[in-house]
Amino acid sequence: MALSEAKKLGATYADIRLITTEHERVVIRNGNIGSLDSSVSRGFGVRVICDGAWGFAASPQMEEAEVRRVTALAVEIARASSRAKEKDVVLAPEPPAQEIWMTPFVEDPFKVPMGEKLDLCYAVDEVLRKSPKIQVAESSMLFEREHCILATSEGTFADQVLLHSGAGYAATAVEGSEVQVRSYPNSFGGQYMALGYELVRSLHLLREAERVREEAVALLAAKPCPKRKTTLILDGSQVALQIHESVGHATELDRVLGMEANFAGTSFVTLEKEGKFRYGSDRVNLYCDSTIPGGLATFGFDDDGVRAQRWDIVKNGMFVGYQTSREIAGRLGRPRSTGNSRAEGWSHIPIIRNGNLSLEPGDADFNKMIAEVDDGVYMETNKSWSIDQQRLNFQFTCELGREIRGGKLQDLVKNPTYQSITPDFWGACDAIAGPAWWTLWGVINCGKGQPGQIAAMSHGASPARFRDIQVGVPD
Amino acid sequence: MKDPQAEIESVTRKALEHADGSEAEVIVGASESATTRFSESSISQNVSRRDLAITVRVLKGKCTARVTTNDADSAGLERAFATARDLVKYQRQSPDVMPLPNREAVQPNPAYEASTAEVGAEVRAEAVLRAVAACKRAGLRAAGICSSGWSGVGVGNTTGLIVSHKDTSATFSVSAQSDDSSGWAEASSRDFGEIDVDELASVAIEKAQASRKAQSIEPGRYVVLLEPAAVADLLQFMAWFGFGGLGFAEGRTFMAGKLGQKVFGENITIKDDAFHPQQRGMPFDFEGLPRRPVTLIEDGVAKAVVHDRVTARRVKTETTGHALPQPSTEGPFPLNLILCPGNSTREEMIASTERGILVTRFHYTNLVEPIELVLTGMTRDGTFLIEKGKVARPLKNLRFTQSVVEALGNVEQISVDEKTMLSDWGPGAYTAPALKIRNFNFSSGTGF
Repeated sequence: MALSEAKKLGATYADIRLITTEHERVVIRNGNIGSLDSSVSRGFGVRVICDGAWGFAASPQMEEAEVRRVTALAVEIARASSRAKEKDVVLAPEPPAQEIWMTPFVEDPFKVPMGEKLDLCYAVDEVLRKSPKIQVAESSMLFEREHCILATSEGTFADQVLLHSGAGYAATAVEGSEVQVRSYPNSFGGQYMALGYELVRSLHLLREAERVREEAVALLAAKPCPKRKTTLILDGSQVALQIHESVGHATELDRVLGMEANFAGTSFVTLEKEGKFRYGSDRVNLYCDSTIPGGLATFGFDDDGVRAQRWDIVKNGMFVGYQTSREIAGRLGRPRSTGNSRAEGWSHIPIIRNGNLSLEPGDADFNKMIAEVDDGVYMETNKSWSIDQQRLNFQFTCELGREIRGGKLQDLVKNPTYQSITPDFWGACDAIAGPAWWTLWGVINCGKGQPGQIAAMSHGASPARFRDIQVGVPD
Repeated sequence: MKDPQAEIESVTRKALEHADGSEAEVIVGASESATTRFSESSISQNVSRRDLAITVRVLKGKCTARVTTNDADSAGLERAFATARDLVKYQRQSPDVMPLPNREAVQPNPAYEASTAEVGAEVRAEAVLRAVAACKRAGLRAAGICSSGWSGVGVGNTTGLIVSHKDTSATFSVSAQSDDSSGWAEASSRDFGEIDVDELASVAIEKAQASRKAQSIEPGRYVVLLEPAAVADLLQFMAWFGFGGLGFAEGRTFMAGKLGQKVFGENITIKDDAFHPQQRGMPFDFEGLPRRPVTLIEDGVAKAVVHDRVTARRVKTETTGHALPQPSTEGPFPLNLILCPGNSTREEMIASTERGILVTRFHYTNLVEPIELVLTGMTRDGTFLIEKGKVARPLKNLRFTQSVVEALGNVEQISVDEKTMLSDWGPGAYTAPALKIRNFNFSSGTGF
């Protein structure tokens, strides 16, 4: 109905997404229920091109009259958009899809008894709080299922169910004026993947809790981070965030074209650099893959109806490809979108989002990577991140560091921090650990757009080594 | 248009009718908002949405569970309560779960302008076209947003408490860009008609033009003049990591153990006050209790943090009415922070600066260390060197890594003018003047 109504009102393109999203979140904090939430949100969004410009409107009321109102509003908005346009919107071609796709999983997390989930969180919580220096113990699980039906005026009718699961915990130790945190398996809630409850079972949450607690306490008395240029080795989870911030957002083609200039920023990876710009050393190979099992940006098709693909972003250190949507690919006359157009739920318009952008594993043995370093710092698990509006100058702080001296990991370092400029940093990469150390890490808190949207994606990475990097913060 | 506040209150009451004897609380959030986004001098995204979220929370002794739905039909509400009652069965007793509060008098905080709620796409496009035309006349590209809408919230529980609130909001933000520079200005108001688009465009254009051919400067410690948007960014992190009762009770923030002690310079006073003329927002918290104005820092001395009933009990004081939806892992939160103005004009602050750096706003600020509140972030959209009392030349952007606790002990001048910036993510607004601060640490530079 929305599509025929839009056509009747003059739209040259229209799509509707009908979405139901279910969440379940469990948090145990210091022995208390921090959160025991379940939610269901249903609604639809209508997107149209009319007079060569976009309009979008959305509503949770799934009734015929409301669908007509929302469609008419989307057309009215598109007509208003057309008053300030330089060129008509042109969508890159994509064959219509009529298919069903769903995330493969073994165990439906929504069917696992709540008592079992709570018992595991309570058990971890008890172990974490066995030291009086632990002021905050927080263990959590999050499950999300999104059912989306996408129909377009070009004939796409795609029915897709995405399932994401995640779990993890953190212990915060406090003593005097010192506050230190350790997390497992990763910070900001743990590890997330497009899997079922089998992910939680695979994480061995309870087994690691004692180590995590003791590391948080030990960090209270650790040395401060040295301040000098030296060799830096990052664990895989920090490399994953490094990829996200300094390669992922930088290669979103809407940013490159200025569409985020007022808010998230632009990108130093301008159009003339494609195929010609050295992004990193010869060892650096980065690729996007919307088909990779377990990826949070793994799907059958994106919100433009573009089928999942795999493509290169950086090949042997050279920048070779962007992340695009049908609109942006069409504007530049490219034959096809890479399929990065995604929206948060039914109430937002699709925008270009980071895909599952990963660093190919290298051939190094992680232990040898350390053994080859006379003087350096090893850093693990992100604590803080910041990068400039063109994605050049970044500064990251990790939860735990260790000095490397004489080829061995030595004393603990607290608040380990490093800072560099994106192409300099990737250019300084001289070793990447092999497939045995490679993990697909989930990011669930990626913010972009106005109104702000949150999206999830994964980044595969193994530990990597970078030479002559500034660690610590100059006074 | 129906009165949204009456609708919200009606949905809140209807939901409570499905509690079926349970001890229960209902929070209803509803909104209708639209954002016209422009870039490269064209409208690039243009969206409108209605939203509704009904959260029901069931308590059984010291156990509690929440279920959220956007289905306001009786069947949907019944399902929500049934799920909550089921979830509550599995948990252990949580000492921090408090019984539902009784109704208290709440002072209304009217902030709803019907004309703003009804602004349409044509009106927003007109505003965008004015800014775009001004930028084009100056040989610059324009990007930004023009947004408008209303939102409302209702809180009710089975003790008979029921409160509701509605307000409107409009924002215009514009970046003017050349090939080697950018300038920016933004304003928000409850009243769309109060936003001066031409003035905002003029400020953005002036900054973009003055920023051309920027030069590098060595990172290091400088006198800095932070314009209100940059100060508001620091306030936002003080809200998240300083003024909440939970971090305070757990010894994790710069306010912990410092009440009654001098923590900043004597010229710094910070309050949380939803009733401030430039602020807006619900006059009650997410348990329905009155949100009280709180003086957090007075003349540099730590006076208080904001509390909900859980943290208030822990530190043996009273709630200030700053609860987030319960239970909350974040604890209570100040949504309406104000750093009180001083008596200097911006011109006087520049004229009295021998050598310093003027910052328009910060980008991608984040926490490095919580106790000294060390933050890092980038300057953006207009960074200038001040020399001998004048804005001398544009600078390439710099990264700061600086303790806010130290910085607010080094404030030399505070502007008489203040601006209110809305939080980029979620509710919250920050009213800030410009600050001149000595010895502010810029730790690295970037290429533009």
